[in-house]
Amino acid sequence: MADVKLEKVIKRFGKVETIHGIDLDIKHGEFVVFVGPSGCGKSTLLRMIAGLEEVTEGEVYIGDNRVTNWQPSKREIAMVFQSYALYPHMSVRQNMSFGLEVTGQPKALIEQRVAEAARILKLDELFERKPKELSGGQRQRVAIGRTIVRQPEIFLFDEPLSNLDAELRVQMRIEISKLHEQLGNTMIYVTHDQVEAMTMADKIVVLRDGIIEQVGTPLELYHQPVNKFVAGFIGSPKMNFLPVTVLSANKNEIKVILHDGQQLSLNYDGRTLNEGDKLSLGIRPEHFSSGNSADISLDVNIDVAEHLGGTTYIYSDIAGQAVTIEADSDVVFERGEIKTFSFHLSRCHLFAADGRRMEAIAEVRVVEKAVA
Amino acid sequence: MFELRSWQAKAGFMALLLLIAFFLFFPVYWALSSAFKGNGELYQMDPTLFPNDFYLGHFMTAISEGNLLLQLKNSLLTSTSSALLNAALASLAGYSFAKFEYPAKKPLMLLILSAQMFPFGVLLISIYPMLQAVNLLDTKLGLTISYIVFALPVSTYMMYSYFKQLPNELIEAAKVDGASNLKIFYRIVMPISFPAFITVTLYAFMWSWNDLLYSMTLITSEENRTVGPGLLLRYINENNSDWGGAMAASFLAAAPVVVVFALLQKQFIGGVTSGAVK
Amino acid sequence: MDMVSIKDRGLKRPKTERSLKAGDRRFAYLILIPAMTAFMVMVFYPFVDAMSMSFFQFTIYDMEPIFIGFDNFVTVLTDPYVLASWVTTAVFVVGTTLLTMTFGLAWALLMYQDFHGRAVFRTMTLLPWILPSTVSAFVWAWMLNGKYGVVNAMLLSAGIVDENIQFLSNDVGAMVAIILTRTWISIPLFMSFFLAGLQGMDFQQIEAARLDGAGNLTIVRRLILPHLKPVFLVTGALGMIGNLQQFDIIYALTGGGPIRATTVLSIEVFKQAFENWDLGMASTIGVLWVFTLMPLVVFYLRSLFKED
Repeated sequence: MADVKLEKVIKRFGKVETIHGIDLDIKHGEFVVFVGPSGCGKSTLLRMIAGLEEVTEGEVYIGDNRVTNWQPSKREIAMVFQSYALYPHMSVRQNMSFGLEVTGQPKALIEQRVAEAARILKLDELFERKPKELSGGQRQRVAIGRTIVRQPEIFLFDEPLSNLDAELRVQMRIEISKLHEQLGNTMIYVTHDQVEAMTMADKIVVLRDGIIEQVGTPLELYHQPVNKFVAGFIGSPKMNFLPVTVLSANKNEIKVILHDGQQLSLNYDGRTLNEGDKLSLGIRPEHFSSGNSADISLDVNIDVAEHLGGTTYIYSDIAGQAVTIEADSDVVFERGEIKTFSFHLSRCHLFAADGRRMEAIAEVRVVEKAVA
Repeated sequence: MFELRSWQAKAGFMALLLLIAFFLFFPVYWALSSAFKGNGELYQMDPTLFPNDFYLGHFMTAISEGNLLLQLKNSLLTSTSSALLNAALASLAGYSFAKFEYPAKKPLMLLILSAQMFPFGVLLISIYPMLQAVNLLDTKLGLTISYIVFALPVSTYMMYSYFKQLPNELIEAAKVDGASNLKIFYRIVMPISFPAFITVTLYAFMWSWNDLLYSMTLITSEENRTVGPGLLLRYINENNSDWGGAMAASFLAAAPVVVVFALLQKQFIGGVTSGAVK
Repeated sequence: MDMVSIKDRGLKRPKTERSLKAGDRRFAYLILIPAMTAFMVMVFYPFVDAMSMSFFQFTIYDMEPIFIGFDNFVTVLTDPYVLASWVTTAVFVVGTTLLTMTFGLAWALLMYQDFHGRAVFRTMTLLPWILPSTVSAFVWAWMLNGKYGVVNAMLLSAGIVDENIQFLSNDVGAMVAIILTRTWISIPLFMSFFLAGLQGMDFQQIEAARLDGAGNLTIVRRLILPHLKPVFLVTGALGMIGNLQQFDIIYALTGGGPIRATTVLSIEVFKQAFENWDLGMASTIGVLWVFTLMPLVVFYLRSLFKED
């Protein structure tokens, strides 16, 4: 079994600390995705698990072993790199067998493994080609094939799809998911693309600036983001944040006022808040509906309308915040039009000034509608 | 790049092209044509552009009298082995500098590169007694080793900058695959870097092949003499008059390397410049 | 796929836990040893040794070097011959480098233009560079021959001179000869430097300028030369370093003569060391030589490392 455990892992490059003490448990067989904006440390973290990067402080465990200072080859891992890192002077077959060959495996075993991997990935016909004679998708397959033949306990993927075009990316995404089902191994996957994270992961680890913001299943992150950052990072298009100001707050209730004068009363322990505090009300684009049927209505001045056929995106500006609304696809919107959209308070998240999400907003009710 | 539609532009371009081409190539042509001229035609105040009759006598005497072939052999032997030695050392050191991190790296690199301010003539003052002390003076081995002086620093830098742009992921992939550092070097890195290796070999070869100073000083016997000093001693003296012979011998001395370079020049032009100026 | 347990793969647990990269560092030092040894023995030690010899009197008449402090330096710095050869060196280096860069750049610009037959020209350009120094010296000595030389023949028939110039036996002529020959040899290398620089040029910029109505010369002056400026500086330094080191061509063409007209530092050191066997004096002149080279090398190395 190959659980992976990180214990207070810190990485410093010279004096600059890029990973600030990370604890993480990954269970055997899980598909875990590290996601975050570039520079968040997700690749460094993966490379420390792989043994390609030194751990400055803390420990890495794989299975029952403390592997912090083990060479990559001893760790029962295999890795797919962003650039695929295929050996350019070797054929597909040689690329796949290299790892078994240099570790002194018997010929028969090598041939059997390579044939097996080629079958799974449909690479048979390309066996004698060199990497430069392959398409991007084929190279990607060889890179994966190279990891499969080694039958590692853990597969590591470092942004493997970022060099592929959109269509191929979707296709490979599905293939990797299938592979995970088929092999049942632990897979750790790094990406900056939240769609990849949402579609593939059993568990998502959201990183920012070298710390973990949140760990959870895709739907947990979507529905219960711990803070504004996760809320904005997960989901596409991004969650909108409307500025609100606290009117009053007590143990049971917070009263806030929206930019247009609407007042809302929210069930939340507001003892930490004071009158006049600035908060953010988060609402996802897909939770708007046309007209004023829902709890809260907004008049939106349409800046840009993108009609994609299946959906329509409306871009506007509300109280200095860029706002995106997913609107009915069967209505044509014009630039400059003012339309009313509304959303239910149950879909909203309230974020404190420091970005943390207030507890789930339970029963909410509209106190008073402002007269425009 | 240039727009050559007007006749003035065309004429200017052609004039410049012909002028420099003449400067570059005419001397070679002239040497060649002189080699084929008999002495009567060679020594006249009004020279002929083409040889009147292709006289091969100079080539005959160039080969039969003197030790031209032996000297050529010595030159090729010392230059080739020192070039290969140099490229091997430079590859190892360049790889160390390019792909590993360690505290002494930058100072050591600077030390090696700063060798360009050590004049070869000054080094020779010490190399001479050193070789004498170990009985390598006037040997091909001694000369081969001394040739390291010329090209090692720049070769190391050339290999360094080549390795530097090799993707790290390639090496990491091999590492994850379980290959040792040594295996990564000769199974992955060197096969990929073969063009750079050849370039550096050629570069080092040129230094030794062109050398006069070291070969003239460190080799004293006829049997070990290389082609540069050999030609010089034979044809340039106070009252040399055998210019036909000198040209023919020069042609013979240059020919083998010209052929090799004609075959390899494409990669060479790119290779030599890549390290030096970026 | 069937899973194979760890034992089947022959993987061994690491025995000791050192730092992850310790093995890498050891390997890095290990592969540095051959080159470092060669460098230390053949380059660095001889350099230090030769430099230290400048504080000794050590001629063919001395059994052992005799320490004399700065006496050699006093002799050298007050010796008009040595100072004259420093000036000779400067003339040779500046003249050659300027000519080489001018022709090298012009030739690179010509070879950058896509015209029929360019490939042949480019290939042939390497020719002067790959000839052994002695051969190049012969070729030019014969061309510049005072009696039968083709250069004299051309100058006479063009009416530029009235009688043959004895290039190699007058001071100016000998200097012209070595500068010309060295320039001839160096053009190929400099062309490839400049060509490499031109290859990094943004072609769309030129197209855009052309649409704005810029002519060929304007494009060269306003776009290409500014773009090549860094290449200019580095190749200039590199060229001067190379020319300061130059010995072979000069020795083969003029031997430093007539009298001392082309005795540059390299020739001077060689003669002191291997004709007069005055190693102390040779080393002292060598120090002067090193200090001449130093600023150029420092400049060159700094520009090399700027981007790292």
